[in-house]
Amino acid sequence: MDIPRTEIEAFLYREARFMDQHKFVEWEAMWSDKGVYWMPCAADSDPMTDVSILYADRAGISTRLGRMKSRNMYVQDPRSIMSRIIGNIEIYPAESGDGVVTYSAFNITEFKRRGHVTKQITWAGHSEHHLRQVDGEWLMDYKMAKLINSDGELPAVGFLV
Amino acid sequence: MLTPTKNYVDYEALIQEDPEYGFRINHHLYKDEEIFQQEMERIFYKGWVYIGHETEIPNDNDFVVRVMGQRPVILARGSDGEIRVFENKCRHRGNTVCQEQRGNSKFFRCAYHGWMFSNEGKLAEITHPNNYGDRLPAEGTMNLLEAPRLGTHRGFIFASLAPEGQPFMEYLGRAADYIDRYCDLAPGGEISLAAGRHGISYDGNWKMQLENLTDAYHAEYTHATALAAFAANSSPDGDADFTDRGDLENPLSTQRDLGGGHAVLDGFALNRSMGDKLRFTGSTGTLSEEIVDKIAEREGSREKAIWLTHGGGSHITVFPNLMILWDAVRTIQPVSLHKAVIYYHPAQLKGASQEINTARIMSHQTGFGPAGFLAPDDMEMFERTQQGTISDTDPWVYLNRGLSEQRIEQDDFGVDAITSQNLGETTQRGIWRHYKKLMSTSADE
Repeated sequence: MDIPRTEIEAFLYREARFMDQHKFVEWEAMWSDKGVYWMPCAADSDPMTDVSILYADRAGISTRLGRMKSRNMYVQDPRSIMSRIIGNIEIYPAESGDGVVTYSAFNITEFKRRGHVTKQITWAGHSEHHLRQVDGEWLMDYKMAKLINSDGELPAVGFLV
Repeated sequence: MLTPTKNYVDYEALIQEDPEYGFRINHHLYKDEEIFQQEMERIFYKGWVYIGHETEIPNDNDFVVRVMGQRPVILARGSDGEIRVFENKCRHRGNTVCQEQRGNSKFFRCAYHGWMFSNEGKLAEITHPNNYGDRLPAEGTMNLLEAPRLGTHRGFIFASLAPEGQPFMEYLGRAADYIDRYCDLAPGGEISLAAGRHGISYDGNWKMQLENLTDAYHAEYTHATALAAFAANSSPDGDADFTDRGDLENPLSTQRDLGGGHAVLDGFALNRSMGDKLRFTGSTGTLSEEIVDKIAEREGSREKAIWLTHGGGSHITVFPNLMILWDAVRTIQPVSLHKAVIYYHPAQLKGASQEINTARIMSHQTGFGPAGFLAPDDMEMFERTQQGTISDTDPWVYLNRGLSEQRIEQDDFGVDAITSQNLGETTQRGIWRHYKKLMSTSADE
């Protein structure tokens, strides 16, 4: 297949903007009904037998977003101010022949304010997306986001990665 | 510091019980560096501390690195199959000898000058020993520093750096009943922590998590969004909604001070009130019927099996650093006065199907770990509490909830325990009373 590189890159950049800006409705609309969202701990782990940072099927993604939309999710009260860079994007045809698999790197800076206390935290890692066109629109069937430090202790991850 | 810290801190003055104030603690207990150092010496280096579980090092030569208080240690199963705890420290210049989080190795070699130690702790090799001449360390004098006492119960490994002191089972005390009940929920009679761990750090004192696990009072506010999410997802076909905590003004669940700093938020009665709808094995409905059937076969009693599932939701605190709740075992790791890490290990039930154990992992990480629905909001509260200790205008924290209705009551094991309704502060008072006893003991005694 011809890979529409510009379109796929635009998808990943748009996803990054929605995550930075806590645009939960818009981000959810980027998922297909197959959606699986996984943040592993160890690099070579199996989500069915090893602990993960999170593993959510499509219903689980909705539940998670439902909580994140609330202003009473105190770990995001007030919400973090975020800026992320997505790069090193590689795009390959999916083995199934339907859609593409992308590998990318991310760098996230999170700024938190609690009263007089401020914190700036840097996050980094790699993502794998499985994208498929549904009715002419690219959607995520699968997303795996691996933080480089996910095998150790982390501050709260209260935002989308 | 050449000698252990003397008791310049007056713990009687910091943790007070009297008719006028009831029970109150001074918030310097969360922010004083000298107190933190004394905690390390008197609680973490003198007393019993949870280190890890046998299923984390199942094979000969397996090891994991851990921290005991602030000291780096290695929990290792030697080539001889014996479990030992060593300080992660070369006897030559003090370098850490193990850099991996976990692995399998017969030896630990210091990379600085090449000294090598066996996984039974013996100094196996000194590089160029002849240069020592007649000062060559005598055999056995430069082995890895080993914790002199280990205690194991149901696979949970505890260590003490003091050669003598309270016997292990006496230390574990009433907590043993609750640990037993938790492990008996596995059809094979044992849990496994082989699914790994994840950790969340917070900028607050380690004792905030110690006090929090049996604090039911905060759930309604801190965890409002999580409870709403869980309730929305509970199965519509008749499973009990475990987020239904009943009549909060007349709760069935209780706080029990088990003595020795151990505590439990006892959900037995509440779970029992839900009858056959609740099989609290970390997942609900048909999945856990499998557990009940298997345990009933093992015990020869379906009644006993259901009794075990009714205890599955209890929150168990084992002083000072082990906690057990629902699907996971967690540990508190003090990092410094103002920083701590909570590690969560999903507890897999041996003898249960992979379907159930996967459901337990999923259920656990939906609630806990760095991106769970529950834990991050707790950490946020601990950080805000720590900020509250800056001002000394009123340094007192009053822990008087449930004090007037507190009573001695038999728990589900038929043993008397100091008890109050679950929205009380009975367990927090129990933890602080034990803490005062340990901390008021001079380190020289």
